[in-house]
Amino acid sequence: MDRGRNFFLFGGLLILLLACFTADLFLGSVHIPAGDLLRILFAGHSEQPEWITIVHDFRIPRAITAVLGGLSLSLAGLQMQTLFRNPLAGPYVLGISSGASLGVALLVMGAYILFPHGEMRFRTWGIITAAWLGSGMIMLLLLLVSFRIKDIMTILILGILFGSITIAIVSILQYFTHEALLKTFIVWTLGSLGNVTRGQLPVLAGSLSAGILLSAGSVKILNAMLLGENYARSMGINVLTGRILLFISTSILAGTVTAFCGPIGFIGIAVPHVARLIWKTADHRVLIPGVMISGAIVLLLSDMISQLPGSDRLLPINSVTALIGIPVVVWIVLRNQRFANLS
Amino acid sequence: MEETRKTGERHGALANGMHEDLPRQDHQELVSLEGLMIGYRHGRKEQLLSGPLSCSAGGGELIALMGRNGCGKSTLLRTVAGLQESLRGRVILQNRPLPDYSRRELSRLLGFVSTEVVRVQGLRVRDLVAMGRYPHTGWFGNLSENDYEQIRHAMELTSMEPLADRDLDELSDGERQRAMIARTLAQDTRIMVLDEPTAFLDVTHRYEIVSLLGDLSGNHGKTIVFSSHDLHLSIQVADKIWLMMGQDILEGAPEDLVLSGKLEEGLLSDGAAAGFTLDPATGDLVPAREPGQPVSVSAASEELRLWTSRSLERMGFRPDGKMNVPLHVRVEGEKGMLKWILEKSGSRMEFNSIYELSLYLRTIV
Repeated sequence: MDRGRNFFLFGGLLILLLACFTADLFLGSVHIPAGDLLRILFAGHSEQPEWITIVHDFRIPRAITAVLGGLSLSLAGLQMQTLFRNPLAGPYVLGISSGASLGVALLVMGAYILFPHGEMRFRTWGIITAAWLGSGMIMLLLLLVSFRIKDIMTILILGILFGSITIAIVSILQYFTHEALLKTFIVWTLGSLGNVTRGQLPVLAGSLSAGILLSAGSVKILNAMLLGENYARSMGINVLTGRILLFISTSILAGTVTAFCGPIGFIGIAVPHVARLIWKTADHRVLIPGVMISGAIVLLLSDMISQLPGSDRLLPINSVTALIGIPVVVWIVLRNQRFANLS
Repeated sequence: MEETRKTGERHGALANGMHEDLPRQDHQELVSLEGLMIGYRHGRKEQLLSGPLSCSAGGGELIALMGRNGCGKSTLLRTVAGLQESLRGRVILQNRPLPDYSRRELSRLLGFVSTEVVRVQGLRVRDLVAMGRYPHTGWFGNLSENDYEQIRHAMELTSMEPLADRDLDELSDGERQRAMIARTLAQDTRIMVLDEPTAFLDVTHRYEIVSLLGDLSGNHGKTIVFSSHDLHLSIQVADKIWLMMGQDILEGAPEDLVLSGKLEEGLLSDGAAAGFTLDPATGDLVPAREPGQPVSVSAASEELRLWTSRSLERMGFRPDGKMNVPLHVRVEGEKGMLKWILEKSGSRMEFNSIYELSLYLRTIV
């Protein structure tokens, strides 16, 4: 009975995903008629050569980035909610986005402080690497802590505190920096799916796959962790290994997406709840593919909204996901007041 | 990676010796504690809760762990289950020291149910019980035909089949406890350790859980250690009681501990429990009362006499068989039309219920 239901749900959502992906290609600051777009997609030619460039170099990479980003953040959020047994945990609960921010801030503003009169031009790879290093540093810090500290709640609190420290450092950097550079940083914090180039896509996809594989390999650990670490231990699970696998996987997933797209909030908190509602299960063998497919759809939808169809303006993706995500979180919290009893 | 392995060397210095002059019991000891010191480590500092503790549980025995609040029952059970390191001494499971087991080996020998209330939205009973098979499955937890058979068997023993598709979140406290026990059964371990399995339960569900444990140990050969505050139930079902007293642990059949007065001493001697005494007839705790004013009770049936006497006792009188006392209560009439007649130095009063009688008696005490 479950199998049939799941089969239809996954099938239906896969079709929805394809539909959203295609619809996303239609949207952008340049209007391309549907017929021309389909011709570009399937035949590869068009009367307007620049339209081919727009579709191939901008819209397809952006839509793929939305799919990859959505599924990765949602998967990272699911793992953190299970590991910490906290419904409000998300991909950034370990301080990963703050770490990435610190990396970018150090690069953008630190350079100004060191060379106040130099010419500043930052290549995207520079920003990506800085964000990666920043989130990786936070991950290493947390791994070190988790070898010494047994209580998972303490680790959660430390993660939040690490995040706050990095935010404080970022604020100090902002205070001493040049306005134009500050803007570079602020624009990065607003998030964007459109900055990933065709050349960067394989790197993005490759590192996210590593995170996804780690996560899929932890499915039994994740299920056992639902009962808490003591029960997991009593069922023969090596909790420390599990924690490390999940921390690394989450850092890769959330850190990479943040490095390429900036911090994108609330998808990672909201989508796992939506998936639990859709599939009515806590089993990660269903939830992992479930959050991936729903997360991809949600970020595609957010991207479409951020294109403001009918206008040539663009909303920051981070604001759109917050506007979509927060009501979902509020609804779930109100609907399920049992959260008060958790942990 | 095994977290328990680190303590290996420490157990060389065991402080045992307590059993050496006793003849070894010929049944196999599945669990034995040898000079076990339990407590917590905060960096270099040690906080000793209790110990050295030495006691044992034989194959198929049902052991009730008793002791006052805060004496370290939960810590002891977690230590035995390998979830917490001991400070010194050792736990021997099936003739092998606990730290020698890998996490996975241990999980095939010993199952654990904690006091923690696990609420997981969307986790169905069937899936919960299936988790019990984790020690026996591979990296991804795929279940074999034999695993499904064990799950079915565990659900049957705990009568969980009708609830198999229910959410763990929707179960009552008693049902959830049964589900957690079913999960441990599916784990198919020779030893089960349960921390207060009857906490939060009403009296019928307490009986249900405890008789389930009795069935599992008596008829299915499980060695079960459970902690409990329910003296009455524990005395009835346990093969042996581990009684934590001060820094020590005493073991013996419930009756041995009652006869030696240790049970009373261990559970009652000070603090909040003072003023209670162990009723030898029922194994229940009853308030210890100063011998009050004597009163004689007579009634047509033993039942009426008993309940009337109980109420008088509660009010501080001492009902006894002697008739030549100044106060006498007589129950007359039929069920539904009963009258309680109080005779006191010649005067006579009638009451329609024990409650009315008690209202009057309270004014004269």
